[in-house]
Amino acid sequence: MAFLILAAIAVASAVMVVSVKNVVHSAFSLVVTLFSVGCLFILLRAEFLAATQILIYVGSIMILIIFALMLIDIKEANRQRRFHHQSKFVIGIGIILVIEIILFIIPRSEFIESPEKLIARTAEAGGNIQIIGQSLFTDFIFAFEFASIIILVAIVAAIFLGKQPTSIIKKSSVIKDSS
Amino acid sequence: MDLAQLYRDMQAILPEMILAVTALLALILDFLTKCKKSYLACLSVAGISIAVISVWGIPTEGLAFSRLLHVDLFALLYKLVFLSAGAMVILISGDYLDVQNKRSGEYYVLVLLATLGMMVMAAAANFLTMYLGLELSSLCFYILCGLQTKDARSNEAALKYFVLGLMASAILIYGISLIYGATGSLSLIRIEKVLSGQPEGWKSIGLIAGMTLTLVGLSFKIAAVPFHMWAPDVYEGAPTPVAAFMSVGPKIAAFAALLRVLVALFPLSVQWGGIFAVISVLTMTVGNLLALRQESVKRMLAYSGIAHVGYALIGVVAGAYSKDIGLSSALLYFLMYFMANLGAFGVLAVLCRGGHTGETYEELKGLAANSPPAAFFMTIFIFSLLGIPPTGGFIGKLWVFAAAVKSDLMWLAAVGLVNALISTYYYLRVIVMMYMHEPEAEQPAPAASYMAYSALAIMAVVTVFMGANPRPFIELAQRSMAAII
Repeated sequence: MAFLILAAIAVASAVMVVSVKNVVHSAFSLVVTLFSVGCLFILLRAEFLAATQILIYVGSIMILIIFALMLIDIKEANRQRRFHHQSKFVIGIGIILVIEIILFIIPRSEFIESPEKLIARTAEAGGNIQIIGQSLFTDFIFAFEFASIIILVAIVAAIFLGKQPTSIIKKSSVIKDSS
Repeated sequence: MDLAQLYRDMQAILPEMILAVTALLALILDFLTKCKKSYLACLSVAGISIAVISVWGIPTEGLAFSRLLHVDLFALLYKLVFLSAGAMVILISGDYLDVQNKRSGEYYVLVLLATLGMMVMAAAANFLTMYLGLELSSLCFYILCGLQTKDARSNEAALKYFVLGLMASAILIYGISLIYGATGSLSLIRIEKVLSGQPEGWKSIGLIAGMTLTLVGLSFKIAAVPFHMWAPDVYEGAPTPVAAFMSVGPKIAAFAALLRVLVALFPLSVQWGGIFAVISVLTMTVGNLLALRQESVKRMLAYSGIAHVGYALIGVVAGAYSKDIGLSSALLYFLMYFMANLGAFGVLAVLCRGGHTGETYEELKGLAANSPPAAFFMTIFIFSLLGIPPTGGFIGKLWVFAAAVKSDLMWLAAVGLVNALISTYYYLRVIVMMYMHEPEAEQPAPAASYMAYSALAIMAVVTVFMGANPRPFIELAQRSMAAII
């Protein structure tokens, strides 16, 4: 029951994201979608995933999106926002994806453990967060450390692009020229 | 995890660690001391050289970091390829960056870290590490493309590459997640075991869909038709040395990852063999036909690079029928090809000087009179790309076509041969421009330093050496392919 309610909220707000006229409203609908997906993770007993989902997506990424909205001209964006000629294409892809889910997800793969078994095993090993922590620092230590280099590159890149204050003006004039 | 195991694992990634330390050192030195940027170039090349030497000290068999990384001959060979490509790029880029007034410390850091990412990609034994390596190198290249922040084309290239690259990554990840759903593992070794343990004729829609999406994502990274659209625009806009690096580095890294994925998915070889037969023919033909029409040498090289991916894919298609011969010929093709392509872009980078971009055919006119060494090096690289003996390119093409014939794919070899003939037109046009035309006006001679010329000379010597003495390289390719099969 809880699943159905949360799933309905998630789907309804996801539809809102792409259908409402005002960009700010669609940003806030996205918050609702991400939050209800986070709640779905709690239902699956994946507390850690739920916490990260809410902290990172609802917390930081949404703030970034709203910051970006503050920097653009919202009235202009609202006016330009309709995707007239793409809608048929998008609906087509959506139908394909739904068919794929029906064909693939519903006949469950025999390689994945059933949720009940997985939950029991997780509880036995000391809980979700402990297992994740352990495997991050043993089995996946290389990936974990390597990801930090990726973040370093992102920082270097941001500083490099941010160092040149004149570039932004040039860029926007270029976009106007080419259009 | 016990310490002895950790020590062995660290030893296995010694080149990567040296590279990462060099990059961090360059970053800190650039920030703290404001030293001359050419010192950073020297530091980076020194770091890469030490990493190359350290490759000989690591074991050639086994797995490291609880089965996240392969330590095999295949990985080591690719590591050497990326390290040497990185060193060459740093050597040829100094003058170009000076001319463009764009010499900055970050450039070297990003080139080093991109190399690191590609090395991890080639060594990946798990989709997770493969993706992380791919992301690291892609992120570095997004920024390197947009290095000339005041140049509209450079900005366009960076943005285009960024948006399309992210989409390809998303498709790749979606494919990987479907494969995970179908097999229950991200580890390539485990996936292969699960698949080969299945009864004959076992198929799962999820697995096929996942495989297709994964191959689409990787095909984007190797710029195979129909996922090639970004390549010419990005290469044209990116600074020439970066375009040189991009035309070999990420392409070969994605190809290495592709070979590993295909070996893991070998029970599905009928499916991927079919997919790549179509892609290979399209890639060769479209790449060559579009290269004919280009007026910019840089764009021509971009399209011809696409065509070269098509030739290498002939080897992959042959690999679906005779695993060993086919896949090792594809590996050999890139081994033979990378120095020549890097060098051809390198000559263009050297030609960029006051008021000249050095990118069009017109500007190559009379190069032989103006700068004989540059014209001579360009000739060698073009011959190798064209596949004229005694250069490496000839051996590469020969082996790929031979693999196709041995796997009863005569028609594919024929398509490849016709395409190689088409390519003579645009490659020879470069040579005609350089040797048979008078220089149009007074052109300043290229002001390249001995560093760039010595890099070009090394690449030319290696290209000719590989072609004149191919046996050790052929054996190396076969042995490293045998290591992963």
